[in-house]
Amino acid sequence: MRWLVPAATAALLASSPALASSHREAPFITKNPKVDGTDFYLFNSYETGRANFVTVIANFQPLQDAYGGPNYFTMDPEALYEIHFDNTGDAVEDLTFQFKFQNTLLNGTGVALPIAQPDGGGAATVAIPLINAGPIGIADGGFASPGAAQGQLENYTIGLVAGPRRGAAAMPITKVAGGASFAKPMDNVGQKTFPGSSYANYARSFIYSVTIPGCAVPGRVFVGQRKEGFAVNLGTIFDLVNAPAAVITDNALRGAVSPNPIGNKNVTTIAMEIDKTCLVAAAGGTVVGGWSTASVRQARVVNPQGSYNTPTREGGAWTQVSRLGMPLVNEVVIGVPDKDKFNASEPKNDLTNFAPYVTNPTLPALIEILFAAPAPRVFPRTDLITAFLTGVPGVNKFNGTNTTPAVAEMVRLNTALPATADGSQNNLGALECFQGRTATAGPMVVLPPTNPACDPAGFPNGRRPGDDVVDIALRVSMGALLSTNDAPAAGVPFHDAVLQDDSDFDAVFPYLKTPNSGT
Amino acid sequence: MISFRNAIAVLALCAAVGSGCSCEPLVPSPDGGSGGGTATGGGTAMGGGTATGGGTATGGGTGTGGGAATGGGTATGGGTATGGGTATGGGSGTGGGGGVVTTQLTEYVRGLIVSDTNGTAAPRQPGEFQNLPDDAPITYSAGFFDGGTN
Repeated sequence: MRWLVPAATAALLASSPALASSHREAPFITKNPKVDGTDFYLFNSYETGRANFVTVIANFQPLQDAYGGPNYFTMDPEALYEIHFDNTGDAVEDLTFQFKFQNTLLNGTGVALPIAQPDGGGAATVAIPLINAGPIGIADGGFASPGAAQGQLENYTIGLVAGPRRGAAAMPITKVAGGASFAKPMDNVGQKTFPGSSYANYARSFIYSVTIPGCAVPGRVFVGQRKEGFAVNLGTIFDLVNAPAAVITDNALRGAVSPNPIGNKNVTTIAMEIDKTCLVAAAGGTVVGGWSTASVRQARVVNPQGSYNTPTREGGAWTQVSRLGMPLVNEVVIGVPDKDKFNASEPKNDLTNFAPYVTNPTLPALIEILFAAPAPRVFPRTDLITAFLTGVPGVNKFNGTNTTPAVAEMVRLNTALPATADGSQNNLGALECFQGRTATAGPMVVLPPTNPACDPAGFPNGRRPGDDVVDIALRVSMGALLSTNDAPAAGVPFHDAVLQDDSDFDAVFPYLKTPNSGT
Repeated sequence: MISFRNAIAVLALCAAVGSGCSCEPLVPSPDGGSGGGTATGGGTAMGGGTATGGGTATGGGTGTGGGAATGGGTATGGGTATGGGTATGGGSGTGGGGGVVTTQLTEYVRGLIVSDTNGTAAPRQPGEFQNLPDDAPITYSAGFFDGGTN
């Protein structure tokens, strides 16, 4: 029997579920925002002329207010930011891209001004309290890089580790133009520092063509501030989904809340574009799995004297404190006692550590409590195992010589399935590709699709910026991949009333839009 | 030296076990010859330990020739011994009981920073540090924050 929202029930409900991909999702990471991974995207590039590439985007530092000066949002120079790829299906990384950051002050002090008495007496050169003393951009869209009045410079290096991430030293990734030190743009301080369209042009100049060891085709890299791309009704969701059931189950109201409540926030993006042939391996076939992490040194001693260069002494082994692959996992799947554990964990141990959270999920039960919408009745939830832990056969399950790939959480992308062009993407991703819903056989997709709305290039086959993963996850959680016998609410079009699609993003690398300006 | 009362030592969250974790108890590099220890030839000893030739010993251990021993262990030639174990020529020994571990948390932290800061070390597990005493913290010099070892 199909579950329908009773009018009386709808009238009683005054909340809507809102989910954030991974913003401040675990207790410990809230103390460490600079290493808080927020979203992870992995998709076949849909920029014109880049069909042979895969784009990966790892966002960090959630919910940035653009006006957050005077220090803004540099990355943590004591942290290790990583993007991992498994191309053999064993849930162990085979390729890891490592990013390390350095902050320096111009001439050791930043911008300094000569301060003197009006008569010239008592002259002294004194450092200013801001990171810049004048505009970086100019009104016609031009810019200086670095600006003459820019007092703080942020640079980074990139390394590539082949095999387990701590098993060998990283090989340096270099600019095609030469050099292994990359500059990161200043954050979008405001219209006086970056007038007109100058910030967009300025930031674009920080896209680098790079030489990747072992890869004959140059890739591209961008690291810098971007506009938050994730769309969600954040406050409402965590207030027990404070929205009427009649709204969040009416497909016509998917965009009822506009603009995106967190669209005025920024994040810091690490984006790479890599030739497909450099990512895949025979064992994994055409499928590659990806996730991001951030690690800090295990020990930290705070310098009691305070210092720009050495506020702390940090050392010991790199110790992982953030992990992000599939969206919303640590946010709404993992229980509070295990959220920090998840952030410290590796995919290869998922089955041991976290299986019950997927096989017997609590989110559907919560929705049932909040909205009287019946949760799926079949356990273990093989549909969720397929969608989140193994990949869908024929779509994004590893299809190489490894015929028994690991059960682990990561974003799996079939690099052989062509990208869907910008403007033609279904923001429900591949959800409408599934047919023959059954708990026993698991979700099935037959390609080529018979449903014209089927977009196999979208989530959960990878994740594109425009995939509305909140709506997809809600529906899948409530049984969209199951039969109505097993999931009475399988056909209900749950959503969070905040729409997300490809029009919210650029059609070119790095896809995420110019960050909100501080003024 | 800077009073430790002005310094805060913090252990970051210990993550999941990495592959190839050796997880040997860390032997820090404390100030030489404290707490009744005897050190000669450049060794460092405390808590009754005896160290010679660059060895490091704590808690009654004996370290020679670069060995490091804690809790009554004996180590020579680069070995590492704990809890009454004996190690020579680069070996590692544990067991035997009777050892007295006096390592302070702050001392342990310094050891982590000085010895484990590289790209391939595996994180130390909480059982190794969560019960370390912190009632007699060591001090860190100003130079420590610029890369020094003390």
